[in-house]
Parts: sequence; structure tokens; C-alpha cells
Amino acid sequence: MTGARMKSTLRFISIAILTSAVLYGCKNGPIGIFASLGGETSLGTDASKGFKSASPSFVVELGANYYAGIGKLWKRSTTAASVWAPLGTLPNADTVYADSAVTVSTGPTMYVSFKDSQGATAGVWPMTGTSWGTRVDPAFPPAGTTLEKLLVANNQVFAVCSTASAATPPVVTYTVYFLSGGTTFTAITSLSDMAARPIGITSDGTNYWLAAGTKLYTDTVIAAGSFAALPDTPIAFTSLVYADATLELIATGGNGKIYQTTDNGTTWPASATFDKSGTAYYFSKAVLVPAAVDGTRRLLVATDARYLPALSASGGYLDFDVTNPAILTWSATQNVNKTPISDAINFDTTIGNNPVSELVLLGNTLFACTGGHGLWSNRYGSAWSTWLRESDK
Amino acid sequence: MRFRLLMLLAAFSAMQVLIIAQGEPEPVGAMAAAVTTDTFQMFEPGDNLLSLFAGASFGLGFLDPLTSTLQAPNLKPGLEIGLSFLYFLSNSWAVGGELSGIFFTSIADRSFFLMPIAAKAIYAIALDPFYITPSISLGVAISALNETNHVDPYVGIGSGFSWRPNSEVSYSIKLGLSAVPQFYTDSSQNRVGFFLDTLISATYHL
Repeated sequence: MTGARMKSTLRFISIAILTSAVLYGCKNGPIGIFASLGGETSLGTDASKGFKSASPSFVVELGANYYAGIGKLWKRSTTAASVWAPLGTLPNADTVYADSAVTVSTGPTMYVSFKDSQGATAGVWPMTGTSWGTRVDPAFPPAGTTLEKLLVANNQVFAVCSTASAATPPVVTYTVYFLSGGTTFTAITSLSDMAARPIGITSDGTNYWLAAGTKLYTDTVIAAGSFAALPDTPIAFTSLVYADATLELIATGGNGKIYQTTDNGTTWPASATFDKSGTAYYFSKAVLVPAAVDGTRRLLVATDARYLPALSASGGYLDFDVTNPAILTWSATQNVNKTPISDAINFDTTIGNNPVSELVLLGNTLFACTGGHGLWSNRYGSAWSTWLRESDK
Repeated sequence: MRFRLLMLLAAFSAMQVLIIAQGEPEPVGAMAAAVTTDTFQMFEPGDNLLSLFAGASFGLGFLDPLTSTLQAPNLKPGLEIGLSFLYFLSNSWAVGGELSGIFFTSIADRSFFLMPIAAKAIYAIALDPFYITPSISLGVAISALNETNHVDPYVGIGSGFSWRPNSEVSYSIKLGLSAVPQFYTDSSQNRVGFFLDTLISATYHL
């Protein structure tokens, strides 16, 4: 090959490679890169590295303060500009990690389950005002059981406990307890030694519904002998919400579908599958935002694919206008526009590309507990603030 | 993974461009004849300059061509590193290529990466032992934000002030202004990005 021909060939190869790189490299998103950067807004006060990468387990409101479980128990004033700080006064030396918490209007009182420095259940303590009460039912949970989560519905506190057998591998079973008189946890017989973990309980003020695996239980009275099984559900639900007398129950699945029953669990019409680039979302929790907040009733469904990362997708949350009760006609186009709670750029730069384990509505403020991406909030005043980072500094 | 492959391809292409530029037999006969005098020349045809540079880059803004509004860049100062190769065609004019990478963080803590790959021409004004090099660059810029990337045209102008303490090396400070027009099918997303580069460099005279 002559020198001139070789140079010509090299030039051609270079041009071909560069052209290929240009064509191959274009991976467009819905928003232009510069347009997206130009549309960014500040995410609020910066936070410490640890706080930014935290996976909050709960956020509750008691009096004039919010409390969050981010390893330790954290607290901040409900004032918008306040920052989080670890709670200085804890019930005792064993209450190291705040595992789960619920609040009830009696008192009002916050019940917090703690774990000790070894990760073992330390117990449940009540807080009224800003003072801790004595441990609730010191014999609870029973020896050999682990308190998994506190639940609340219609001002009634429940506790989900697990027991692992001595077999190899161990068989884990779950039992639901209810709190009576604020002093004693009592096991519910029909909800004892269940193979599936209860994912939630909801109530319309009279009836209670509890979902565990493909089982759905209901009752109107809470006692040791409460709860009867309804027909099995189509799949194992990931969350269960009571909407209203018309919509009744809405449930979410790990398959990207939303289910609804208007006949007390006899039938469960399902929505289409919602997906991200062809991969179904894993819906983690749903929360109803009533019309009293901003004038529109909507259902926000969090996505968290950490349980099935190869089969499902995370993408912040989906926003549905529940004004239309015909869930079967819900389409993905309903949640493309993130306004007025957020907008495309705010959503994309905050929680839109991350797993969200739970969305919590406290008054006019939404909190998003993410998986490894910190705690975010969105407060409605005369308009939504859009998502801002919660900070510890 | 795909983007890493793209980076490798782009880097390889840039190297090829540099190699070709170095080996190109330029028609310098007339120019060479013109400079075969006894007068000292800081640069001569055939001289090669290999520069390594680093510095800070600043986003100046994003122009929306539809509304003629300039959006704030929302970028914190970025770190820029790169290299360039220049081949002198005459005592003053040199052409070559430049490859750099600029790492930005946005105000929303997103990582934005910009990689210009450009052909470059300079005009050297000798003020022994100093020289000034106004320049112009034309090429492409690969930009990446999260999982999205895009390749766009790139144009840059700038100037360097250099000190050449000996025949082998020189040190420079450089200031550059670049523009990256970004086009999308959805024209509402079109923007022209403007960036300011402040650099220091070490140049080897090969």
C-alpha cells in the first residue's frame, strides 16, 4: 500500500469512526441536556453526605415536630426552613435505632419501635408532647420474635412480628398484634403464623382490611378473634389504601399494575401495566392526596424496584388523578405531566430516577423516603414547592 | 457501558486525526523558502507542539433560540483537562487537534460531562521568549447528563500567552470561549451552551 493510499484509508477510517461515534452516541432523553440544566432549580439546603444517601424508614408528625427514622430517631420543627437533628433524649441506652413509628390522635401519641446496637428489637415506647412514656408492654415482643413494623389504621395501632424457625433454611412466619388500651399488645389469632408478611392495613373508619401475600382479611372490631379472610387477591399486593365509598380499596402490585375493588374484595379489576422503558414498575406504596390539599384528589404511587431489580423498575412515583374513578381506563399518559406537584426537571433531578420506598402526606407536606437517596419534601402553600432536599445542616 | 465505548471510539478517532495531521506532507516549499533566512524564528514549518492542559471551565448560560432568552447555566465551576497537538505550516500558522474533558456538577448535584473534540488553528505571535497564540477550534462536543448523552457541533475561540524558557518546553495561560449548539427533534429543547475556559498548560516542542 502506498503512503498516499494508506493516509487516505486512515482518513476514511477516522471519519467513519467519528461519524459512527456521533450517531451511536446520541441517546436522547425527553428533555434536552442544556434545556434540562438551564431549567434546574436549587434543591434547597445542602445536606451531609450521610444524610443525602440515607434510606429513611419512616416520617411522622407529632405536635409541632416531624420525626424520622434514619438509623437514629431524627426530629425537626414543622417550620419549613428547619433542619433535622438527632433526638438527644431517648428512652434508654438500648434505644439506638428507630425502626418504625406511628402516631395516633389520642394524646396525641407517637409509638416508636427501637432496635438496640446489635439490631435486636428493644421494644416500643410512646411519646406524648416531647416526653417519652414508659415502655409499652415490656413483655412485647415475645422472646424469639422480631418486631418488623408498626402499623396504624383508624387510630388503632398494630404490630407485625416475625418468627424464624430453627430449620435450615429457617422458615419465617408472621403474626399481627393489636395494641389495646395503649398498654398491651395482643396477638390476633387469625393473623398468627402467616407465611406472608402483612404489607399494610387500612380502614374506612368502620371496617379494617389487612393484606398479606394474596390474602386479604377484614373485620369491624379489633380483638384477638378478629379478622376473617376474603377471597384471595390476584397477586400479592404491595400496598393497600382505602379511597372512599365509591372507589373503595386501591391496591398496588410489584407488577406495575394498580388494582381496585368495589365489592369488598370479591373482584379486583386491574389497570394496564405501567412501565419504564418496557420494564414494569415495582409499586411500593400508594398515598392518597385529598382534594383539601390543593383542590385535586390524586393517588401517588411510589416505585421501588430494589426487591426485584432485574425484573422491575424504579422511577420516583406515578401521579394519578383520582377524579376519574374508572381505574381500568387509567393510562400511562396520566402521569407524564408531573405538575403541579413537581415538573419534569424537578422530578428528574430529585427523586424521579430513584427508588421511593414510601410517600407520606403530613398535613400539606409530602415526604418521600427514598432508597439510598435521602429524604425529600414537597410542601403545598399557595402552590407546591416542588421537591426539595431535607437537610441536616 | 455504551458511553464508555463511545469515549474510547472518540479518543481513538482523535488520535487518528492527530497522527494524520502529524504525517501530512504539507506544501510548505514556498513558505519554507521564505523563511530560510538567518533571522531567528521561534517556530518553523514542521514544528510540532504537544500540549497538556488543565484548568477551570465555567458555564456562561444556555441560549434558547426560540425565545432568545439566556438561561442560567446552573453549573458549578468545572474541572477541565485535555491535550492538543499542533503542526506548524509556517512560522506563524499551525493546525492540529484538541481533545478535552470537562467535569461539571449542577446546582441540583447532577454530573454533567462535556468532551470537545476539535480541529484547531492558531496564529503564533512571537515575542521571544514569549508568544501569543490566538486560536479557533471547530469540531464536535459530546455531552452527557445522567444516562442521557448527545453529540453536537462545537466552536471555540481563545488565546494563550506563553513563556518559552528553552527550546523544548513552554508554559502558557489560556482563555477560551466556546459555544455548543444543541439540536433536538423537539425544537423547544434546542439550546446553545456557552462556556468559558481558563487554563494553564505545558507544551512540549517536538
